[in-house]
Amino acid sequence: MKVLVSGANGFLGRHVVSTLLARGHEVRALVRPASRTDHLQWADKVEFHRADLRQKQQLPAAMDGIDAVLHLAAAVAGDENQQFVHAVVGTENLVAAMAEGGVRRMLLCSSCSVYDWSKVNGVLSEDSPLEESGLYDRDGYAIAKRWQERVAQRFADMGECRLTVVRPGLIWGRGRESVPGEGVSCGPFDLVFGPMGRLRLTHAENCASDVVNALEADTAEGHRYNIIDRDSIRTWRWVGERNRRTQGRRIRVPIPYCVGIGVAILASMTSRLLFGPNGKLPGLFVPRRFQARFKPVRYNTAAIERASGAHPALSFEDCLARTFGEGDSGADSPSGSLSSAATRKPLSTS
Amino acid sequence: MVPAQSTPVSASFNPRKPMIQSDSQERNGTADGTRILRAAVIGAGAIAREHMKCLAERSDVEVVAVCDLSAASGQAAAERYGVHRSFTHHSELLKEARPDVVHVATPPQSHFAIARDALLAGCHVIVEKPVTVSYEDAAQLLELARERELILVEDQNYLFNGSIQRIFELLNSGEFGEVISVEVSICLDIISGGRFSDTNVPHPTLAMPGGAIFDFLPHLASLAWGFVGRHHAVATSWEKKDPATPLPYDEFRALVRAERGTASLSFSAHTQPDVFWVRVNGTKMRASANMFEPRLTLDRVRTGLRPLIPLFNGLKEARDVRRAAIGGLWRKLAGGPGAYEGLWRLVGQTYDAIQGQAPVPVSLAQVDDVSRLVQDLTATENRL
Repeated sequence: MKVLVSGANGFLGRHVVSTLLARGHEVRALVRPASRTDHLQWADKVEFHRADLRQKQQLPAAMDGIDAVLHLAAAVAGDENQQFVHAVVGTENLVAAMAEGGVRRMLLCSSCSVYDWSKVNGVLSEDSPLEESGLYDRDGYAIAKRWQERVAQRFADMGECRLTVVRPGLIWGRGRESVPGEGVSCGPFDLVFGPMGRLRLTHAENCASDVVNALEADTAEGHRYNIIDRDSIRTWRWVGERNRRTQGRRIRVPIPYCVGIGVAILASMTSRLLFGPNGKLPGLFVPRRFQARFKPVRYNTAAIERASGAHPALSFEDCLARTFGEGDSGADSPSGSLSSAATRKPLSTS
Repeated sequence: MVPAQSTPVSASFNPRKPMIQSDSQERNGTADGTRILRAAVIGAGAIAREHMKCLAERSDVEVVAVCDLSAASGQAAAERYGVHRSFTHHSELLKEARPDVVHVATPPQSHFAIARDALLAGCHVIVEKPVTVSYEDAAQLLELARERELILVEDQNYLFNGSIQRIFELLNSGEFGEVISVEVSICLDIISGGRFSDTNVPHPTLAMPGGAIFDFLPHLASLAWGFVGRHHAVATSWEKKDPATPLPYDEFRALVRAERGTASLSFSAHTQPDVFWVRVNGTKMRASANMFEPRLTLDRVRTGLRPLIPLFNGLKEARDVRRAAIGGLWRKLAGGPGAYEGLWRLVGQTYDAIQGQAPVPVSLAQVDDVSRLVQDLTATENRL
């Protein structure tokens, strides 16, 4: 199929385009007008459409001849307003262009941050409750991703498209060697919250493969999938493995989750006592945000495994080697992704 | 504050005509007899949220609707602040939600049309700065507000910050003496990134006279006006120091001769670190206010042993700085208006004025003078 990929030159997008090409799809890469593309190794294998999702008039032309839209673009930096405009207004404009261009298939790349982590107990699955009543206590990224899903879902509910939503965990790989859930750096120390908890890691190449599997599978339409690698990695181990390979001698300090959340709750109560409901605290001391980053749960990956039809080709050890080892297997390399992607064809495809 | 320039509401202001006020709304009111005012916020961006946060603190205001071109942005703002209705076009909002007061918090190019329609619908208007892009448009709005006896207030928020209000108090009490000059200086790195330097979607202000710096001129102009009054003459320097930036200008200086003194105004995108200084020089006192922090230091003429005067000055300044540092941290933790304290005070006083309890905080003449100064600061004939 011919796929329009928004955010094609982003950290995940580069791997997704590689995987799509390896599976024999045609790709139109939607990149922003000022973005560099000459460093992308698949640059000569795709068609580029330059547009910014915030400007709706640039988008309808991108839909010509497209079978499916793979919507990866979102801002991970900037203030709350900028993140909202990039992710949510961008999605509004994109779905409007899809409606105009008659494109009826969409895969939205959301995030596990959309869950209400205060209510996730034990196991996270696609049926876990989504953030609703406490949404505006969360950070700008979570607010933007939750609203992005709402906009896409409304579009699908109107019968305008067949929607699949994927919610990756913490995406890592060469070029992104640390993840938000691992803890906080403080001088020579790494404060590791909930050291025995499991991180919701997904390596960029594994994640890209799962994203494309979900796009290809007929059975995935109308469904949501958490994308988390099947290897269960504890936070303590992750920080140790990463530090050993990148940062030399740093000191890991284990802080039990219950201590961290206890401090956050205490800080929050003190703030409320002193300042009322308007009091402001750093994100680490806001209980809902702390829970979303560090709450130790297990992950049920059965749904994405069923959609993919195969386990990821890359084990955690493979991922470490590809991320920190020598050689050209980084985010801009199509060869590495192509080889891994080729081994992971889904069983159920359109 | 600036009370000398304000129009006493009891003298000039008639409570709004009941043309969009239903009988049931007329009966609604608070325990102290003031009526509940129906507010609408047009625009749902960062500054609009400050307006809504501030309105949520008032018991005599109900925000009845919010509007944004992006339906999701409007709905998110409505959900967040408990507003029942959101619209994607301001004219539908005016027709269906029938507000008493409209807050215009959209990009500057849209201010004129929205504020005009709101005034024509019989609403009081609080509009973000700049009130309009051109002085001619501002003059039209002011005329419309006069004709219809409605309030039109531009958000000249820094005039209402605590530090500036304190200087006005000292001026009014006579402790400050007379103002000789004011220096207003903004140093802000808007070329290394951020919304003004976005090369994918050019910021709307880049199309205005002066480019991105235009966005800051109302702050410079309103502070100059507050301390030295209406201007008589202006000389400016506009430069583009960094050829790579999409901004047409990144350095600006101006000297303004006004009815009560002179003003030196500047904006620098290169000078670091970021700061926003207001220095007011009087015949008895000198005040320095850092607007990015709640810091105000006052130097006054002292009597006594001359060799000890530097010591007393140093101790006083150290105390002011220490108090400001602690106050700044407290302000951050307390939430509330933070750096937007002036906006909250201005909006609060505007609603008090609509309720007939206070003068209008920013008179039409003040909006006119500041708009005229902004126009002259950008005029090519005033450039050196």
